[in-house]
Amino acid sequence: MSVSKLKVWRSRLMANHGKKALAAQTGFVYLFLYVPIAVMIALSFNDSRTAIVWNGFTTQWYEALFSGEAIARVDPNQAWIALQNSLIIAVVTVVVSVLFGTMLALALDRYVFTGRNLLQGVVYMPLIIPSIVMGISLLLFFNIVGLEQGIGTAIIGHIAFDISYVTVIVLARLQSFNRTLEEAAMDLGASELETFRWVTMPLIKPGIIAGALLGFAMSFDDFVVTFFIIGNQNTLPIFFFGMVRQGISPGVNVIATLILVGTLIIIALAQKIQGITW
Amino acid sequence: MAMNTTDVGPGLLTRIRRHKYVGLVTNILPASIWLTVFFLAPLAVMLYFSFGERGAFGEVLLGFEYLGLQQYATFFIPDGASILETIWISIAWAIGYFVPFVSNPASAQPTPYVQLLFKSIYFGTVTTLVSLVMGYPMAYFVARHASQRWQTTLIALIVLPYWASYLVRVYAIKILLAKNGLVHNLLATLGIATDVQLLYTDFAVQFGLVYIWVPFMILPVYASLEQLNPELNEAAMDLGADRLDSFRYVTLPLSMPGVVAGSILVFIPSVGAYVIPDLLGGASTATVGEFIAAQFGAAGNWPLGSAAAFILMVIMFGALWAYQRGSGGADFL
Repeated sequence: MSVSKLKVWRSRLMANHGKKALAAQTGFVYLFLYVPIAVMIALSFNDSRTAIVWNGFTTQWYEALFSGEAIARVDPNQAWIALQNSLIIAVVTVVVSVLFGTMLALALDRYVFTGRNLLQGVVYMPLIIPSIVMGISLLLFFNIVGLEQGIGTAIIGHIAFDISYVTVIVLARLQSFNRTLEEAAMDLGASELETFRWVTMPLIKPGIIAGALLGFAMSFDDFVVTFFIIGNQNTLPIFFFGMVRQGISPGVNVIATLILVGTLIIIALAQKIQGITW
Repeated sequence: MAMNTTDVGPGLLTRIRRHKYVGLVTNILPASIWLTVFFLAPLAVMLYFSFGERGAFGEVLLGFEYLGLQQYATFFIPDGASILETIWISIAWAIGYFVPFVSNPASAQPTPYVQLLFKSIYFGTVTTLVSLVMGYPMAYFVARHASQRWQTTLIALIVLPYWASYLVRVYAIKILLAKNGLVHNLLATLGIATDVQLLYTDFAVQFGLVYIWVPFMILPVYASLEQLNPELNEAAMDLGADRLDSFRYVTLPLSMPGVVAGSILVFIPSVGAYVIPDLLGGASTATVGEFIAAQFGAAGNWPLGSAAAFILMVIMFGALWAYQRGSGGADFL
């Protein structure tokens, strides 16, 4: 078999330089992902009111915010209230959606019934549909039903999309485990509840925890859906969005850095307790 | 064993509990009721609103006499055009917009709303392509050339930004591209361009979209490449393929499910984006997402906003369906 010169040449090129080129490209992607975040964190220590050009190191913005003083429209007390609202919404949402989502996942895994595919399609829909469509449809719905908008309506909306995340993750876990373990437990005389408590539950627990974590992140981080259905209340993302719209300032840099570091600590803790959860 | 009510057997409660549908119904009911009432019903309400009309004072008229397709007509049909003309004008404009070096073959313009829609689809397409070009080689490198230990770390570093707040990351891009910001000064120092406006342009929106969504391309592509057995490439090369051939005819086709999944995961949110164009784009970069939001805010036209939202949703599902069919029904979840 004769190999053309071009092939020899390009093969040699790929063998000699392919790996280096790919490594460079990989490095570039990581720079792309992390440089903006690093710049933002660095600028939160920047001794300048314009917040963009580096003018020396300071912790004055942190000190001011932690002592409750507002800097350039950024009021830490409002941020605090917004954070509390976000946490309340996320916790209630996660509890309800983990319960409902796990039940639904069990049903989808265990039973064959008419409309199963339809139901599964509906479960995937909130993951696919643009958030803005979900947000305004809920806004119109609450309007027509006459529910006053606030934390409550935000929780309702969040549960509506979080159920899907939990269901999909728990379902994946259920489908990957061996049903004969349950049958063995039953053969050995365990009741349905005992089997569930001592066999099924420990096996799907990682899935449930992963679902809960993702659900929490989705709820805590959600801006678009919440924006339309929370009335005049604030969550952390909504508060943050309002500040960002007004422009770049040292106060926003500090809040952004704190949100980022806070989230990363929580993920690190979750990883430590649970192993890799994504 | 047939059992009627007169038999002495397990109590009624036990029998209800043991009935084959009881477990099913109990497990399904809470979630399905929630999804029906707070997800499907709102979509139906939105559809209903989209048939309504805006009154003279911004109120929504939903009486029977007002219902019709007028919002959809406003959205799609330019003044005085027939349906056929509308289709031609829209397609012609899209050709002029998407195909380089070709100007709009029709003399008329489609409605501003249709232009917005095309612009959003354009943003979504470019975001998907850039993410693919950026993400594929790096996913390949991590899956094929990195050691097992490093793979975990490298992939965790891709997932990490996804867990960090979305808005914070958009803000980080805002800082990066701001006047006198890092990129701005870097371009000036390197003598490429001085005093160039980066923020509040289409470029900033595009940059932000890629920044936020590129992990969604990398992860599925990595997952499909990682499962791929390198011996297949060796076999191809034993049979006379060179490296490029073995990539082109073995690796690439086998990684297509990942590419399809990644493209869907990137395309859908970037077409419907609202936050990124709002924070990074200028007045001229309005997208459908921004337009819909405006109808429920300052512009105050709920029926038109509902119609636009419904159109956006239909286009998404249409694209998803076409893409999955075209790619042989890849399972993306």
